Amino acid sequence: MSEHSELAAPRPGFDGLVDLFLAFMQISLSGFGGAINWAHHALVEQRRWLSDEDFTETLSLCQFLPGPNIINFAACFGQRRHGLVGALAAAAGVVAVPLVIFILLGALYSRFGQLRVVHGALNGISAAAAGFIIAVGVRLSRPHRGRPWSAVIGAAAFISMALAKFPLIYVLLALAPPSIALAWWTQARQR
Amino acid sequence: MSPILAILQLVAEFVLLSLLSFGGMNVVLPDAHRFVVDAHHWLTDQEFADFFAIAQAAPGPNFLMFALIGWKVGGVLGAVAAALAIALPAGSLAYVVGGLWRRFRDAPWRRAVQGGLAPVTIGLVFSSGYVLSVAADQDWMAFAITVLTAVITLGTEINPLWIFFAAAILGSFALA
Repeated sequence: MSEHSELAAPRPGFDGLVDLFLAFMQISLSGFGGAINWAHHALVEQRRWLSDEDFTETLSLCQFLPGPNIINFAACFGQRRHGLVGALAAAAGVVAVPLVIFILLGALYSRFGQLRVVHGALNGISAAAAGFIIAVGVRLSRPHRGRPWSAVIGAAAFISMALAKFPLIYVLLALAPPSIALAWWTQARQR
Repeated sequence: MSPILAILQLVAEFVLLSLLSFGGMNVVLPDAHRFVVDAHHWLTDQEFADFFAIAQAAPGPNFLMFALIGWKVGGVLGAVAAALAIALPAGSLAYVVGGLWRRFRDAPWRRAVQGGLAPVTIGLVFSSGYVLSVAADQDWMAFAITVLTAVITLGTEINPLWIFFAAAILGSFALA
């Protein structure tokens, strides 16, 4: 509990909002390999705005809800510190500057994307990224070993989405309810 | 089609994806691909894969890949609209639910929802990997990069950025 006394309080008014904007801009711009790792560095270690425990708890909420984790984190944390304007300042920090960079990159792409060297480099990255995502899928599956219904639901999601190309909303409406019911049933049996 | 109408259609789709992306934005890539490449032909397979690559490598959150799609569909206005369509709905939900979280964090239904969504999410993550590899792996060399990356990522603790960097160098020679 002694940790809490060391936490830095928000600066009042406009200064506090600028602090939030800049902190989330820093997180967002350094967000290679997942912005969330940088969020821990910037918010817990550097600025002492959050305890480790608070960070983990907020993160588990952000991962539970839909949407980009870093946006959810900005909305939750910004709200706690400065209410609605705080949430907006933090989310603006995530998006504003990177969006300008991305638009510039889009313009560069339309001009130079067909150059063989650029094309080859991007192709290499996207081929690697596909492998990376497959590895993420394998990692996520590991805790589900020995739960046959998980494998059936996962396979059904893959077939309906990747192969049959059904719209995501139908896939979720069809698969989420039975899957949640099965999770509930498994939970009840373990109790 | 007028660009404004196209932007509106894109925004409607992205708002839906924002609220359906349980497990993060990688989960909704196949549906985004279905919508913008297969259904509307706003992007080619190639551009979709390239935008994904740019979003991985650029400074900024990866979900801004959706802003690149918006940029292709409707210029700067399209990019801004697409970024907002992804960020605002989910962000608003997090804003509202954030205050209630302590109350239902340990509830049994909360754990059942999370446990039940997990296998669906996993299937969708594999779908993303599949859709991207179909788009990116047009020859055996690219396919080899995909397989190698998966193996290295699973076998080591290496920062994926180094793999992407190596893949970009390799690609600029071998895939050009």
